[in-house]
Amino acid sequence: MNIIVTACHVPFISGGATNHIQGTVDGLRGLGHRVELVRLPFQFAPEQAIHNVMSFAEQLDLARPNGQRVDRVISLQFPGYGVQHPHHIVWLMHQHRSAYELFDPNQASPEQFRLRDAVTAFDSRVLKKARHRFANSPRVAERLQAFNSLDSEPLLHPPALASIFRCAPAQPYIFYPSRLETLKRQELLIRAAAMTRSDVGILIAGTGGQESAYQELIAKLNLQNRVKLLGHITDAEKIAFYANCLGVFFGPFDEDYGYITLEAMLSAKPVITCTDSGGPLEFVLNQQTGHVVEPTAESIAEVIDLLAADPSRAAEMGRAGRQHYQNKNISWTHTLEQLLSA
Amino acid sequence: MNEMPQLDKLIAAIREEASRPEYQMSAAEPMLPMLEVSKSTQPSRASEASGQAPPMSQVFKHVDELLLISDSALFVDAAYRALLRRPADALGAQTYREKLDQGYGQMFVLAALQASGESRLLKINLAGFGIAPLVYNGWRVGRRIGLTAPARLLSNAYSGWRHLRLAASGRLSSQLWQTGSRLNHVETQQQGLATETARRLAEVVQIQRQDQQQLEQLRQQKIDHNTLHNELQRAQSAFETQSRFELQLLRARILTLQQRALVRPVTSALANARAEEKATSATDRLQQDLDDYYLAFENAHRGSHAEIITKITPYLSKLAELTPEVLVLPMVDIGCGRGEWLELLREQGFDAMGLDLSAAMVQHCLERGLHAEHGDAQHWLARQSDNSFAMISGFHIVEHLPFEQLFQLICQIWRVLAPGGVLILETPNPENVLVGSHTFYHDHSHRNPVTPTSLQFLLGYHGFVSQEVLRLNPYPEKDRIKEPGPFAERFNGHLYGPQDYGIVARKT
Repeated sequence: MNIIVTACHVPFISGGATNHIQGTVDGLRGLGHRVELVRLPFQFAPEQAIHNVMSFAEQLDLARPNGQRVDRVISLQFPGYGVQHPHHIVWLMHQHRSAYELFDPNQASPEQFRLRDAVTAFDSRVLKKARHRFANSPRVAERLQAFNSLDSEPLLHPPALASIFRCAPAQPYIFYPSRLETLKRQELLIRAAAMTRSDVGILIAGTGGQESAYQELIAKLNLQNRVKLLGHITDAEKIAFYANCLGVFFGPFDEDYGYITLEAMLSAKPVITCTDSGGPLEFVLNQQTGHVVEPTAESIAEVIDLLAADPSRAAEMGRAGRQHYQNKNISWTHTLEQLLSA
Repeated sequence: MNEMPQLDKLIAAIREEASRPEYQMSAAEPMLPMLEVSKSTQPSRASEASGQAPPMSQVFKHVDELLLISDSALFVDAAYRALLRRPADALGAQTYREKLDQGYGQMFVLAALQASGESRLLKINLAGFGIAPLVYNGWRVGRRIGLTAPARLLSNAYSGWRHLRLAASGRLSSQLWQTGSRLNHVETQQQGLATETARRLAEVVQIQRQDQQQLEQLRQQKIDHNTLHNELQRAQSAFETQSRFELQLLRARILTLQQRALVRPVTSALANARAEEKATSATDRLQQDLDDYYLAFENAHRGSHAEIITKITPYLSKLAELTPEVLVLPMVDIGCGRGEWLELLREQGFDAMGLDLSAAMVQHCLERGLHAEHGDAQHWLARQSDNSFAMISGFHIVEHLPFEQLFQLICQIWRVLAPGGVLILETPNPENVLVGSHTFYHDHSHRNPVTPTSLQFLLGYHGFVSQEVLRLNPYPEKDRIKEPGPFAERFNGHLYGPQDYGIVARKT
């Protein structure tokens, strides 16, 4: 088939979305389809830029560009899912989050209010037209239902390098690899480190805007010997840090999907997450494959101490997590089959 | 609180573990169809990116050149032009693309086109067909006797084999290899320079030591000659001050040279690529005229080259205070103009580049052998990583910017400066009434004067807590009111005081 995949292009910023997009394209090509990736340049500000790209996307008719046959269009991101095609499948990675769950009416400017209304109307209008709607995770489906009253089918996919994760005997540290941003809430983990009673280190990997703030917080709490910011790490190092840890912390605010939960489960490690963390809650079974706690430093410190006090119980939870992942039968073959059968 | 001195050891052990073979995962990456592999190095990549076919003028001499084109539409079109000297017609293109979709392979298409009467009439000279004509004829025979499938498989296999051979021939990697060897060459050169500088540093240290020894000898001999003794001490302290400054600069130079050995080839390659890009797109005549005007204006009003160099020397001492960790990082001057500051930095061995919105200014800098790029600072900075610069300077730029842009610029600068790095901003000083009311407006591109108070607040707001304001370039002494007294002092201050001020802010 001739398939067009639409996505965004945010210059020089890459993250989980890159794996998702590339995985989809490579997978479809691997199945022998001719795949073209169409990326719309996207910038978060000013508001007008978003209005413009929405209206550009909505006017883009990909039914038969230049007389070329296009059998499917698969759209992954806002506002690419606005394009027109008779057989248009949307696999929603997430909506424009700052118009939805991250929108703060107390802080928003009049332009931001106007943008929110335009985005909501756009989403309701164009997503309704899709032949089938998949969501990246149950959490994303939930939001689409809540904000736009549209149903969608959760369709999971594996993280990159899924076959390589491994498990080694636990060393006394909790691992958290993610971009250092406020939403990822590394701060909770750092503050928890000041309250734990056990000899457990905290290794935080990644770079980002909060790096210096976190560094200062660590110094202020005098935790330089307990908490380390590893900065950027390679894939091989990431796998090794997962493999050797006691447990993984992943407590962001309302995550869409979150590869970290899956990577931890693949490494057979228990996951500590929070009641408001979104995506991870679909995977972490409280007390069975990890701990789901209130987003406070005290409660996180408490479960870290629990893991440290009984490493064999922690390892058992990790194994249960790996089993849980396998039961879900998450693979690109399965995912793409679903995607193309719609 | 439990202390955990073992954590660093643990991290080192895990990093070591990650370097072992079982963690190396290249083989496990998701597979790509073979044609895609050659896509990233194919010669026609630029034309493909713009969605157009290769230029009509491109002459193909060897079949392998065509095989490098992985997109089937472009490939069919190129094959038509190589073998029939014309673009593909709609029906032909459709037919051959279907053949490609069905897995006949590229060699099949080439052989079929070559076998056509049209191509044979043209007597095209294209090498490298191998056994493709034979395979093609095999397919024609096979089709007649109802053996299409095996014939297609044979065609496909032959195409696959050609691709394998092409990849193995190293044609794709030769360019990379050339770049690599050029880089090695530059590196060797830079290392030579670094060695030379290190040798000179050792000499200075040696001389200093000898001098101290001599002084010690003189003291031991207790020559009771006060004048001589004082003289010697004064000479020594002058020498020590001088050599400390030289030592600092030399230390900075060595670090910079080491750093440059790694970085320079890449940046200059980038600069070349950008320069080419510019050469084709700079068609805006008016912009060019304005740029030329501004260069002439600068020449007439900003004083001679030598004068400016004297003016900006005070900032140099601020750079000698940078720590070694910061010194290895690059420096950038925003709105570099004619490049006086860049030149001074280069003389001192610092690795600095300039940015300017004016193509004429950039050209001027390039002619002086300085490293400068044409472009907008905001966009350029947005592409740089966090904490990656030792120094960012902007001489007489803030008064050209709308506040919104200035605000974003400072925000970006804070992000890309390394902790310990410095920001230097200089602008006309409106505390001087003549500057604020008159001379500021000589320059039509000035927007509004920026007061030291507002600029300090803006920098402080973005996190620059450590700031130093230098008030510079007062009117000459002869212009001032000579009579003593508080009135004259105030009058002189307001009218004939410093005409510029600079802020040196440090990211902590």
